[in-house]
Amino acid sequence: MLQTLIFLFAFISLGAWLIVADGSRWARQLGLLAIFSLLAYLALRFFAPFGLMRLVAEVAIYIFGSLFVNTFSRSQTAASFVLTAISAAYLAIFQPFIFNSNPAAQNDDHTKIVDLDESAEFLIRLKTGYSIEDLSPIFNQYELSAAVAFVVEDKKSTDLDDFYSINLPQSKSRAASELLRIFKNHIAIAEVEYNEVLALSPVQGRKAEEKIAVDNLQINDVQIDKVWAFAKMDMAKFYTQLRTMRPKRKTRLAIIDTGVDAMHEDLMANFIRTSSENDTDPHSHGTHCAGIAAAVTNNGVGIASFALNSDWVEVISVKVFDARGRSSQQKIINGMIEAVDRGATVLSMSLGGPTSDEAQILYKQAVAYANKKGAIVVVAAGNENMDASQRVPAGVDGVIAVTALDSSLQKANFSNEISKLKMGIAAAGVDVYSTTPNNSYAHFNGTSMATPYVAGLVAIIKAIRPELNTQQVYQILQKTGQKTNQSQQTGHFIQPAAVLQAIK
Amino acid sequence: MQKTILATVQFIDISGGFWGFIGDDGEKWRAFPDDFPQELKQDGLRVEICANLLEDVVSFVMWGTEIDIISWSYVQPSDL
Repeated sequence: MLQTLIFLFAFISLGAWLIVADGSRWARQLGLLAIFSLLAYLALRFFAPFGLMRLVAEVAIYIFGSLFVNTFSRSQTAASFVLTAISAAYLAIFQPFIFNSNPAAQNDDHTKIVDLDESAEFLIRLKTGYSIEDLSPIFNQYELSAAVAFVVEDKKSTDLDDFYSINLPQSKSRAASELLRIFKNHIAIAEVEYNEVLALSPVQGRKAEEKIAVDNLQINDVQIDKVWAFAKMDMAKFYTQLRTMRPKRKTRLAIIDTGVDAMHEDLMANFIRTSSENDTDPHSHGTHCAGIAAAVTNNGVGIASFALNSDWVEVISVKVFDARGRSSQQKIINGMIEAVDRGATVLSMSLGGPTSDEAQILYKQAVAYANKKGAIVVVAAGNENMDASQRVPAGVDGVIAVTALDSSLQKANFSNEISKLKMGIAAAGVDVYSTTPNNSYAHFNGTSMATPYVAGLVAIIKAIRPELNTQQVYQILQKTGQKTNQSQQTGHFIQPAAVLQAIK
Repeated sequence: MQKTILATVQFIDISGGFWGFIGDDGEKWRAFPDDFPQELKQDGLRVEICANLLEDVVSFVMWGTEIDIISWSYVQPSDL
């Protein structure tokens, strides 16, 4: 704020001197005022640097503005008007520095803010040419600190490395909504959003009694008769075809979730351990998804997956939820980056929430980064029986969004619909039987469960044809998929055997 | 934003299951699991809830709007 006021004072006093430059005592005083205020501005710039772009802009306003005022100096009225107009324009540009000086006075928003990550309440992206030092007045006022938000290995492939996470101390937490407004109006900031805390609900298994005929599968997984989707997907035919094929490259599939129980009997052989943090799951959700995507097939226990043996798919876990089931947008985006940087070429994301322009931008960049690295992002459509385009990441361009079907291949009554999305597809999402921590198994419902079915099949496609991109893979899934009674809302139901036929 | 919600408690069998509220206007609400009152975990219970809305929260259950319950009371049939 101080630098804005001093600059304005310097500029107005110079302008006023030019207007009344008649050699009078009053004019001499104005001249001295102009000189001292200019020196004060330069001193401030020296001791509290506030960014080159801003310095250039203010010097230009100072020089050209005063020249412009001088051209009207024969008419004091016209020159005063020009001086006032330029000062007002300057204020409009840098108004956050002035009007944010008492943000508490402006806070008319009593809405409780969404839960924010206590270590980084905001995510901001600076405009080109600006630095974090441009925000130093605000940082000083609110005792903020900043850190690079996303650690990206390949910085040329994304703008995500331009994001900073901003930490607001607990003592200033009431100022969060004011700060959001300040950041949104700030000239140096291109994007800003809350770093929201994401919540995970606990999961409990539910037993379904229905068993399916699995005689033709020629696998020995003892509980596979509880996986109804295998019959509907004609997995016997899929396995028969897959036995005649070889992968070009084993696909690394990332479960971005609550972690995965790395020691589970039905996952261990397909699982690549990355860290003790990622490889435990206090909530069961991630382990359930991992089993659907890549349970070990033909190992005499539990269930099976598309990965007929260990040549096809390996799974890593990227945990984005903490022990209480909380996370943030930043952690999820970082999870996507971590997965890709760890070599995953299929990302399975069974999570979602309301959309916003800011969230769309962030996810879009993360998806673009993944795509550029050859990875395909598969996400859940959501469980509110509504338009999935109103949810992220389902509504983000570049992802394959997955709806849930029941065993009659009807849209699950909870499943969101994908009619407004570019790439929607359907999979089993009701009474899905899969792995849960400590060598146990359970039935869950949700588009969360349908998502790893698609991710698992995409992993097989990528193993056979690693060069295929998201759009090409989606076209294969859609063209070979089975129409449902509500295909417009659900997309086609995946048919793995037909997929193999199409890509062999 | 604070809101008073007239709703019915329901166990929602998605992602393993959780407790939610179906508002009289059809809106869906859920509380963070640790904060869901133990006394309310009963299907069909009619309640009036005063809550802060946490509208932008994302979750794995992908169902309803997250709320932070401030207070609640049972709604008796005679109150309707």
